[in-house]
Amino acid sequence: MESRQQKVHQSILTRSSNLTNTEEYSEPIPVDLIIEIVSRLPEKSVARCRCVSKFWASILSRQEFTETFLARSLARPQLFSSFPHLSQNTDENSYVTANYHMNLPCERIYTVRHISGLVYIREHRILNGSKHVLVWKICNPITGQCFTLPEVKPHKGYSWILTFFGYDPIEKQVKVLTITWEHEGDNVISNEHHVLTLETDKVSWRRIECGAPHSPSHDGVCISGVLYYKASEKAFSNASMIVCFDVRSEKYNFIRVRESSSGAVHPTTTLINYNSKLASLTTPTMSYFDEDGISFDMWVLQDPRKEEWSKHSYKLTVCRSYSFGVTGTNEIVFFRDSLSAPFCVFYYNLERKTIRRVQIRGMRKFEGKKIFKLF
Amino acid sequence: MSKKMIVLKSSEGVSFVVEEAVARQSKIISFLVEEFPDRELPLTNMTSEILRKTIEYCKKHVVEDDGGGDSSSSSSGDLKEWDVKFVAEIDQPRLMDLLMAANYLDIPSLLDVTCQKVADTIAACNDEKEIRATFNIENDFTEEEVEAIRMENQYPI
Repeated sequence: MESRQQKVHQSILTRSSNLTNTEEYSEPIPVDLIIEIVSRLPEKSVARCRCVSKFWASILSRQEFTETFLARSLARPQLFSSFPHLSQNTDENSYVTANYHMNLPCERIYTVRHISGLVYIREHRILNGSKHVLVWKICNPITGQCFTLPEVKPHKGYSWILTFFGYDPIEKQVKVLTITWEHEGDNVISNEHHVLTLETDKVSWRRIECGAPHSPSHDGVCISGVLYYKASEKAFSNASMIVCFDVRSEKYNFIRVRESSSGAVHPTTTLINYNSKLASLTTPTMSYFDEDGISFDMWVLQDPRKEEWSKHSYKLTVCRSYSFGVTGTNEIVFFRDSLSAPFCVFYYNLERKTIRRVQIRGMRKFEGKKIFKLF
Repeated sequence: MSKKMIVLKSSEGVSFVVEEAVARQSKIISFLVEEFPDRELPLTNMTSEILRKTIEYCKKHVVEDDGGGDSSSSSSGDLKEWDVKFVAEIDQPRLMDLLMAANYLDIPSLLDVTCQKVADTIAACNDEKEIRATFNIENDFTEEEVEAIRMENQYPI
């Protein structure tokens, strides 16, 4: 009883002691409230807030702020991180206007990913007019800062390379995992794993041991500090397992996929985060179209220890698009890869099984260009 | 059956008699009521004006569980509209006090609505000078430092 009473008194006291810089600022707003308020703002206003005072600038460069801001961004469906006012309650058919956010200094872009508020761009560069290289560029869309990852230098030669990005929510660190491998016939040989921790002072690759040579497939997802990707033991064969890389401890686990659940690791599937569980979504390509619409399946890993998956089937009647992504609120977004007018996206809610169409205005000047989308 | 009432005391020593169900929307008060039943609860860092406003909000948002037909007369749409009006009528310094009160008393819905109103106020500011003026924040940046942040952000601020 005594301790509970103390707790309340402490919480009341904490509130007073939380008041920061009362001597300097006549409005003593606690740090957590500043974060709570500013994380509700669009990026442009956040940028303004950084210029308010040194104290505000220091708060808004904290990881805590970036995380809160990101969590809010994910809670509302976004494309190009640019629809701040599109709420869950949007009508079945609606319009939003895209905000032009920023111009990233990149040459040819191959692919774009994002995790923990940062955007990762695979960029194709031509050095000295002839040498072609692919680099990973990391950009912070809030500050506009960009950074190019150093090239990984494996001990042995390789033919294949894949890079994954993971986030450890406990240490609040982003880690990059690069796997290089070579094969002889069907056998995977010289499988090397390198990790890089994104820190401000030193950025270098470290080799780690995996223990079980495998051939990964390009698609991965990071959920609660664990990076998942599909892999096979043999080169050039369909995936037979899910590799679980614990971002914090850098240890591997392997989930074998039984024959009865092999649909979950079929080459046409994409791994997604569904209610903090690993799930696998069959890509609704053109071959899935029939007269009534398109159908696709979702496999959810219910129990990783027992290797149990549940299968859910969905059918959509209105949407005819070619690519899809998943928002942080369990909605699948369908859209076309290149911009054509009118530019529409469809949000399909996996829980409610409802679809809504959103037309995006303000994209005319990008018509015909390839788009990469981040939700 | 008469409703249980509790007494909240402002920093000026003014007592407010409030239905327990109304006050229990504050997690802190809810806990204090259990720990110290039949005692006046002194809220030494809340002025009477802010305490009165907070109680007004809580009265509107209380959901009574007496099974009566008119227990919750407001629909969620009406409530939202009421909230918007409620914060719109408060001037900036008092809005900040109310926000702090919601934080202090731990009333999540009031904290949400006041934070959103403050966020909307910031979003309506045309530049950082206006934000400073609105929130009475002293500028400790030099012009060059502000310029450097602008460059870093790459936005037309």
